[in-house]
Amino acid sequence: MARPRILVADDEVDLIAELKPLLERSGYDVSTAIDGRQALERVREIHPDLIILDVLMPYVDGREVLRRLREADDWTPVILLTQVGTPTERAMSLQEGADDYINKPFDPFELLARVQAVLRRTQQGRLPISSYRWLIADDLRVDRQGRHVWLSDEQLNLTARALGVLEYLMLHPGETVPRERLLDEVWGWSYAVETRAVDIRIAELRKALGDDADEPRFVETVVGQGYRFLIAVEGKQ
Amino acid sequence: MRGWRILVFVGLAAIPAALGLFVSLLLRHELLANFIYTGRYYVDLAWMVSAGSIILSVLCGMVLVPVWFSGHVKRMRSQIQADALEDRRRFIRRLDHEVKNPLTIILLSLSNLQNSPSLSREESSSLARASQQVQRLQKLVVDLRWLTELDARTTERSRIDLREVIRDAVQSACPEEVSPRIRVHYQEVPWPVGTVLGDRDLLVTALRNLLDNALKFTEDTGQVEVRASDDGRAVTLEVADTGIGIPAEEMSQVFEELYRGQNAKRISGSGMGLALVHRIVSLHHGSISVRSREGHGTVMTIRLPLASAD
Repeated sequence: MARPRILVADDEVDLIAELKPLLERSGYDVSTAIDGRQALERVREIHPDLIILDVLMPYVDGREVLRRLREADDWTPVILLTQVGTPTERAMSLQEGADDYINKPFDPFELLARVQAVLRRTQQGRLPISSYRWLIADDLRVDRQGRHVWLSDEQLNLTARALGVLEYLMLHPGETVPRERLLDEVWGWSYAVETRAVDIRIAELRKALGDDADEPRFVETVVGQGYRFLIAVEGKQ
Repeated sequence: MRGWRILVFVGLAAIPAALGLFVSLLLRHELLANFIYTGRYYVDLAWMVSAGSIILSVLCGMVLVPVWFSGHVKRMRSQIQADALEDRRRFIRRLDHEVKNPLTIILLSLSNLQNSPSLSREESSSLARASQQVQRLQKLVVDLRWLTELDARTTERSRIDLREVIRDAVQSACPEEVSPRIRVHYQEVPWPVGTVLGDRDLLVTALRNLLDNALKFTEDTGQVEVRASDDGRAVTLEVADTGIGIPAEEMSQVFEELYRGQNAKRISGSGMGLALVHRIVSLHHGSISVRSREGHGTVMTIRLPLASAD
């Protein structure tokens, strides 16, 4: 079986020099680009299976590369290397068509886990689930723009953070998401906050969804690791 | 708002002058007697009114000018503080931005080196130590950035029972202990402690930071107490310990980012904890103060406004 091809685009040559061997050791073929223009050329030449794209690059920045790819109906999975902090800014990365993002400085193993997860859940040529306004899993519907959740025909009353947790889990279906990542992504901060804060929101979510922790339908606790959304999720505009 | 205040000041100062003018007009049209007999002397009313007006104007000025000036100084001071905060935020954003790429590269390099098969045990442990320290640096940068970015946009606002906040903070400060080293006193009579409006997770974080500090700087045989009370207007949360205390000359700096007391340097910490608590309390429109005696203990007091009944 052919090794998946990954294109890494970042203007920091030292970062590329260190990231390339790490990805190669993990079983990927790696090509590189040092600015946005070169990244677009390389995509046309090698048709990568996944692109790791830095946001801040000369000539054409990462967001612009992403927009041009999506405008050209190219849905190659993209992981953005972002420098942004707040959840709103991060959410924008996904709305622009990225499949995932990771903040610099990142743990190398966390990046590898994201690469594997994105490759597993995305299918070539299809829109990433994060591009859709509606997330649907059976009778559960989440309106990401209006910030509303419906179960069957009943609208659920959730706090902003519980909704954020549900949205993040549904954007990563089948993937075990550690509590620390949820804190980082949904709260926007992980400073000295006990992961118990996540457990409290999960309890709120389960109560609203009528989900049983012992026999979960939607959110499963993976002991010692985190939480996982169990049902397949579809996107709708 | 400022324009209205000036108008009120001018209006008040003009009252004695207008009064004088009014009495002068009455005298001129002979609607008032020019002289008043006091029992011993005849007093010229025109002179008396003029002198009275001047004295009243001067008195008003003596009261109003300092009031206006103190308001002006207060506004100037808060403007200077806001500018300083914005400068600090801008600096931290730049620092954060400039440090991120080098930190990422160092983390990747260390990860690659750790995978080398020819490393000796000493080299491996050196790399592991370097990796730990880089992660510490990474956390510090992220926390510093978060502290400056933490504002009303990133916080929730709901009605919070402080009993739950205290329970969670105590549990997370002493997760393994069956009977934690922390004693909790919660006002029940004449009325129980009321609710506050705010972000539960942030308040737990604030209290937990105070408890972490209290436990860190107090011997195992010492005491740590959390006290919650309600005076009908605000809730007071106190964390008291019998620890090493804070030297008097350092008291004004304890809430600054990265500040570490002279007697605290041998105990690990980032110097971010109290700055964070201060920021969280400010976001909840509350106040925090500290009382301490070196060698005897410290009391940190948070006051938070009560949520309105409706």
